[in-house]
Amino acid sequence: MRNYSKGLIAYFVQLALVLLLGSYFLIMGEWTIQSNLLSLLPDSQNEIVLNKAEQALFKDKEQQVIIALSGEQAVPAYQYLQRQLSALPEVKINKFQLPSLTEITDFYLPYKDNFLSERYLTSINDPEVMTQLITSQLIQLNNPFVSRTLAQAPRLNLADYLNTELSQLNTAEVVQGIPSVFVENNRYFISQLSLNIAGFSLKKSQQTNKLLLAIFQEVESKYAVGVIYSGVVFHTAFASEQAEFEISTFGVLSLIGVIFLIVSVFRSLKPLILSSVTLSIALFYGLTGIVLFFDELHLLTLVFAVTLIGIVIDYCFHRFVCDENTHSESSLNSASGNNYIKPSVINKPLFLGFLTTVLGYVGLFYSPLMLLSQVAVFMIFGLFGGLLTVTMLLPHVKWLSHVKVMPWPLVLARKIQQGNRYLVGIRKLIYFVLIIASLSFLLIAPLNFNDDVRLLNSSPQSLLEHEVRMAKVLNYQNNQRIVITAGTIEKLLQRQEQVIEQLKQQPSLTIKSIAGLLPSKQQQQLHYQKITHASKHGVFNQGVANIGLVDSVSEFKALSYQDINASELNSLVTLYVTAFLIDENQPSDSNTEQFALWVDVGSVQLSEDNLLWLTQQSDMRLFDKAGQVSRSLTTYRQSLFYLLVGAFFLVFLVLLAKYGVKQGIAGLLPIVLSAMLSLLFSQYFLGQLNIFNLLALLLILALAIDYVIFYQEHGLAPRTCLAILLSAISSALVFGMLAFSLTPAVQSFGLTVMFGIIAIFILAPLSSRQINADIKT
Amino acid sequence: MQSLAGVLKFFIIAIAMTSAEVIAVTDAQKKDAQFAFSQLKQLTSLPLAQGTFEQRKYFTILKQPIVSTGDIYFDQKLGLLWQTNYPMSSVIRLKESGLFIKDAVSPEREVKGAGEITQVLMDALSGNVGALEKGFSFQTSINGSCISLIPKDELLARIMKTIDLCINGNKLDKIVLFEHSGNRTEIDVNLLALTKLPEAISAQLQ
Repeated sequence: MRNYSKGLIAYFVQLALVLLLGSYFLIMGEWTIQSNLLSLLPDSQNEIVLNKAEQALFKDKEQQVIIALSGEQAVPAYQYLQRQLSALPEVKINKFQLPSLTEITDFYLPYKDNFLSERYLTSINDPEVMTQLITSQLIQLNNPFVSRTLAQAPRLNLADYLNTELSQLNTAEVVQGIPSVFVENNRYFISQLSLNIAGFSLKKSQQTNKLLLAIFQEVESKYAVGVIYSGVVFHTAFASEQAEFEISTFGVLSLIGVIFLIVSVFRSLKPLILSSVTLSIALFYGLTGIVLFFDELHLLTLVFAVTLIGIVIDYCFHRFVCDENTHSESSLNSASGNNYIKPSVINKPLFLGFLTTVLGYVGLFYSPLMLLSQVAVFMIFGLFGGLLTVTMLLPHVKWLSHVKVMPWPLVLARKIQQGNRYLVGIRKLIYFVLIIASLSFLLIAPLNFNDDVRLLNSSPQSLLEHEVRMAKVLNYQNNQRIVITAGTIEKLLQRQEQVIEQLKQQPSLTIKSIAGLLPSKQQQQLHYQKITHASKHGVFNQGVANIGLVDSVSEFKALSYQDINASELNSLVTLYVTAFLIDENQPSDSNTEQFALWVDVGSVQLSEDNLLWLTQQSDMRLFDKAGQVSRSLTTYRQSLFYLLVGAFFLVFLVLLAKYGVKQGIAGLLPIVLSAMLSLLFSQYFLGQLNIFNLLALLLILALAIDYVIFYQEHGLAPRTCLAILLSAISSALVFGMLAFSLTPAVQSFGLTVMFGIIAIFILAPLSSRQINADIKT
Repeated sequence: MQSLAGVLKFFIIAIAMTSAEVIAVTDAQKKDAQFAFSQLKQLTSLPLAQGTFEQRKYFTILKQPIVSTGDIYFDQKLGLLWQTNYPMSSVIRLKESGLFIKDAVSPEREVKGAGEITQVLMDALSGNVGALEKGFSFQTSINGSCISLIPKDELLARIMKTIDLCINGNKLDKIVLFEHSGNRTEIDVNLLALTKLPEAISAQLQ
């Protein structure tokens, strides 16, 4: 009794210490929650800067919605739609509003000699062509800049420049005052909205989604028009609604299942309460580990770490069945005499299982990927907390002594025991058949991993069709963007000009950028010099004299980023250019401030030369979010795969050291075969595998280690069979049910766990030793 | 007391007179708009036509207008072809798919966001009163001989102050585009109805 008390005191002391330490770090520590998958990659400094640049440039995209209306009644429908949308408080209609012509010309006139369009540049040494250029603009109907700049810049170089550059930036025609595009014999009237949904408010996304869809439906039916819509909010709302539905459905079903299981086996809810307490303690230990070792907790770490739940519940069941089974068996089976199992008997395999699992996770800790390191720390600390509670606290809980296993589970356990004995008798045959079958399947259909993040999208087909149609309408289906970064704005603009010069070697590209409206000072000076030189040599004389005006070259004054940012044109510039800090937590100073911009290069595939040139530039890259996430998933998946192989090897070493060569191999085979079979079956049902299938293997591996060690330690004892049966059923109820999810990632995880649990439940007993001894127990 | 009644009486009379003036002005504007619109409706509809034009661009800074002449072709269903022959050759094509410009110096290029004025020109030339009614309010011009179109659309209103259509008989005779800067463009047109555009022209508008 005194010993128990000492152990118990030791347990509570360490628990109090961990609670204090964890609470202190959780409350006082400067840790943050990170949700960006790319932030966890082991990037180079250049990649970190480019990642930050992309976030800064495209952060508003997630709040945008684009709507396109087509049909005979599209204009009244558009006007009705605008009225309806403007009544929604969370919707801001983005007006198609360029600065006025007066604002544009007034802004550029002081710099009139710094700009030459392509046409002016090529004609700068030819007085005859220059005269034609000036005259052609004077008679043109559609260049309003001529009228605005003629008095102060009669060479009309500024008028031609502004007309060309603003036209290049325009994607839409204005018809009846509405921006529109004409595609495949249909005119689409475009409306763009910004949603004011703060942070991760999924509820708000769902509400806004419902309101918008109702308005679209009303417009469609009222005016008989086609409505296409596109925006992240629709996908977020759908995914969150689906997730909520699944969580509530599966959660309730799992809970009902687990409660039913526990009540029918123990006729008490006490084991459930004790499991919940143990699990909470384990989760707190896991979190404490994270905040001790890391400054930030990634949301994905928590997703990966659900494995902890399965293993801790497994530990609990061994404890409940062990402690209770003592009394039940003694009363039920007097022939076996007093077979009270001391806590140490159950503690030993629990400790061995813990040690082996931890060894597996230690490999993950040294992974170069922070995500996997975090998972390892969370699991090691969490399992430690769970193990201490199961081995040091639960044996002293008096409640537990009143919990009885009903007779029927023991009867069932004995039947399982008999079945297992039979299987152990033919285990060589089973291993042989399974190894040959697995290898044959692997030869016929090797494991096929596809890490394309788009395959994990659970959006419905109708929503995806809208996205595809909108991409066609706005001609951005395969649009490529190049993101450029630099430490100064002048360097950035110069690099942009170099990129455009390089890309122009591929004439089929349609390049859209801010380079025209905001050229580098270097380029402005070059154009100024050309105009000065041409003016000195009388290139403009004839053209300007024809209209009876004179145009003197003014002193050079460069247009700067600051000038344009402070003008009415800043809305155009901020669309393309942004300033950002590499480390937001550091105070802003000129050393860390960076600048970034993007250049749209259209949908024509970049030539080999251009692609090669781009890869050689460290300060720019093609923007490809989906590709980047997919590539990062590949990196994670490959690392996870190698780490799993390493973990299997470590487990093998432990089994070899503990049980010798024969039993070591006998222990490893069920683990490896279960993993292999679960992947093969998953691939058969899903067509291809992804990182979430491998993630499921983490849980399978940890459970398999426990099952195998218990069978190795206790043989095919009914209590072992019963504990493992309960553990397997509860894991299947909690995780296996996820196989019915409509979210591909969750479904992949659930399916592999389900197959893995079935496989390990059947195969783990084959590793059992002391086949005769277990009958005695 | 009497002085208070006097002040009140003065105010009532003043308000009544001002209101009457406002009502009279509003009423006159309404009648003028109705009259202008009735005049516009007399314009013969020309869904398909060809003709010639003389354009004079008056810039406040220049003493003389910039004159150009050329040919016009249009088909309401296909678009407009504006061919300048003098003082130099240039072609503007307004098609459903956009506005395209070609001149003696440069090859043809698409000009985004500049098609609206050309579209208004085509609506005026073809007598598409329905389209004009959607985009403009009307009044008679200051000299009374033409109909002034005032853009309702904010974007067009930024470029054009008014567009005057001068009708002779039932035919459009002259278009005057007034800019806010005081510059104006006068276009004399001479149109002939067609049943079919020349093949070469309609091919250019496809």
